[in-house]
Amino acid sequence: MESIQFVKQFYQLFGARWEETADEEWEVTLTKELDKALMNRPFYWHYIEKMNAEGVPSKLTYTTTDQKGKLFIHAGSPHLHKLYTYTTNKGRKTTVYEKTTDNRRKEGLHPWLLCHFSITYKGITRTVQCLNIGIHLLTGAFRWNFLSHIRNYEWESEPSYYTYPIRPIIPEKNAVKRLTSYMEDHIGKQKHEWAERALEKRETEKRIIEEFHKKEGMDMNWYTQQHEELQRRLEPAVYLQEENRGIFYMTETTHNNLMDRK
Amino acid sequence: MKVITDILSEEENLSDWNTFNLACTAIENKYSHLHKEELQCMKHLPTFTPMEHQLSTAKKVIHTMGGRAILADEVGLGKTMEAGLILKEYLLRNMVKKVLILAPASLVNQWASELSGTFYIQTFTPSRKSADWENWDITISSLDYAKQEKHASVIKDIDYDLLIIDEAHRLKNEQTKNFRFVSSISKTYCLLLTATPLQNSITDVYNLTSILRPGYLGNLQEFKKKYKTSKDTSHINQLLKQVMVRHNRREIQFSPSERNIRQEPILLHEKEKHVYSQIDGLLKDQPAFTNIMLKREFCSSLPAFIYSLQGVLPKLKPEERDKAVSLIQTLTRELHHSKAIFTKNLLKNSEEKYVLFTEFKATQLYLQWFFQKYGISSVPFNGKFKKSKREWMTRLFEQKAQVLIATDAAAEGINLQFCSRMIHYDLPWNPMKLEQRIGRIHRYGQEHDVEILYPILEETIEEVMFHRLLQKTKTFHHTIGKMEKLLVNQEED
Repeated sequence: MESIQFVKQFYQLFGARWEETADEEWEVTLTKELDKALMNRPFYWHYIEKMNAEGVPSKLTYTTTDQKGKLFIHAGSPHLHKLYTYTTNKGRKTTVYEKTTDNRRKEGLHPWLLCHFSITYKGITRTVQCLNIGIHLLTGAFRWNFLSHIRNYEWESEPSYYTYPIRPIIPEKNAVKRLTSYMEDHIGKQKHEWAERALEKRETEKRIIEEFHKKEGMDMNWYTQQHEELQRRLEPAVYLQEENRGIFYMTETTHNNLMDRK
Repeated sequence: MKVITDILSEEENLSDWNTFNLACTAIENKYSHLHKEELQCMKHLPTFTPMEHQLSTAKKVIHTMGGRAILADEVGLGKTMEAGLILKEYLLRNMVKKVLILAPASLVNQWASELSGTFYIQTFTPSRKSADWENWDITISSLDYAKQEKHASVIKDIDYDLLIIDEAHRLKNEQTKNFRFVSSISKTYCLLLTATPLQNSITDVYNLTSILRPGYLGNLQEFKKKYKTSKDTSHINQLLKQVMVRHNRREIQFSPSERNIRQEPILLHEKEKHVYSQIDGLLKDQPAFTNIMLKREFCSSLPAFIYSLQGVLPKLKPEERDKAVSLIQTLTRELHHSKAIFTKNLLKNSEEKYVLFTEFKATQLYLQWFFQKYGISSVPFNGKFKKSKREWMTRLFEQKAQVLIATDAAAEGINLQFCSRMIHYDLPWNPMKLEQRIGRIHRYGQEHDVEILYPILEETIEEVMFHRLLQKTKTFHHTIGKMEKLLVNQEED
């Protein structure tokens, strides 16, 4: 359900007509841009453009069950993941201002920076955690789960009347650096049993390879290859990836609400 | 803990709030549940309900074996599905990108359609027109195609994240090109699929293991010595458990279907006995191999025997040759063969469908002709058939014919669970071939008890072979673990 909800929001956002045609069945007519991005038919569009013609974007039918000729949407459907990728590529960065109807007095808006991270822990297997954190660009205060808070408000690309953004004291670049090192610190403080397990396994396997190498006189090439494969497989590592980032200018009230939250 | 950090580039365009917000949702959805170590791929496979043992195999391979394992379930328990689950889980967690799957040519398409249909994984298969080993993420190819020099040289320079080899018993010999090619491929994770990890000798397992974990079983000479001198194999058994997962049908009770095995001793006709006893004298100076081969062929059918004997003629001394020629002349007049008559009577008195396996092409032709004479309908089957012909013959057998006469090359990859009877018309040397044959009918989807028949000609090479097979299955039992019964009197251990 969550998945089909996403598809619906996706088309509403990118301006394609989305209609419910039957129970648990929807139809959408793509826009030209979406067709090019999702349907993988470059030759068609190349030909159409050469001919100076309009072109007919595809029509797609979605369902939540497995049926022939229709797109079956579930958590693992490749089509859905295509939409995810398209959306994340479009929404990497933003700068927005809180919408306010209170126009009795001129008000300065507080600048906050949000970073949305994924952390990948690579051991015997891999786990991924999503974390988002905000930093106040005037004082340097941090807030976890920043996203869930700001989703309660309305945001626009231009400031509302009578409001103006306060110029940040901490530049964006520095703020990102502060957040990443804060995250790295945070990661460093955790207990990493998964890494210990991977290291232990790696050591056992390494010993066997070294012994075999010595005893059997295997050549250096063999040794290097074995060693590299072992590293790739069992060397523990943490990857911190910044997925997207936004600057939010908010009213004093919203700012105070945020600061009050633990 | 060392952290590798990657931040956004400066060049990203600004988006509006709605797009940004939806992108956040996409990111959260994409990674949801992945903070847990437990298997998550099932959430992405709504149309597939794996069997319990398939799930537990996937978990074990990923979490305890660290992604390198021999998947050695008995035939028909879905090793492909296990490999699919593991691959899916790794893709989901972004642990693999570059994947190479090597299967027998006849199974390449089956792999591709299984992966796309059940697992939603898109794959590529090289052909004469295109083979983009470097850029394709997931490639399925036949081993024979990939090992050709022009392809092998490209493959050797690629670092694969996951290498999957189907029917991996073809790598049991470390002297072969297959083995050398596969061991030269750079890989992170690796799955070897085979129902028969041990075909003839304990070195088979050693060699398969050395692809996954070189040195894990020590050095080959020592390993052989240790195994040969001590009767106690529990140690090896223990070691193998770390690199191999094996289930048998009984243990997982996947099917209510039982396996009933019957041995049918058949007496040779007086005339046949006479001819059989002459073989030794005739081939005094020939290698033992020729002698054994001719005896096996004699036990299979007269055409098979005569065909080979004619081939040997030029090598014989003049007086032996004369004897052989007169022997052939008598035989061509006496065309009934005791085993063929026995089988014909069995088929005549039964309504059931049978799959019959022979080792010899000549016997296959002969039986077709012989059965037809008595109004028994049959279809031939061999490994050289193209895919479409295989399917056509299978359908013909299902709908029209009573017997499918197959040569051994056909034992891999066809599914005949609509039939529940099998005749091992000739015996192979390798006990695992029997399991491959039986697996054609005793597999997932079989609703009846399966009847397996071994017609054995008494006082011939067949008796000797039968005992040898029993010995070998015992070795298998001790090192690899329990297996389904293959031969009648195997029950006592």
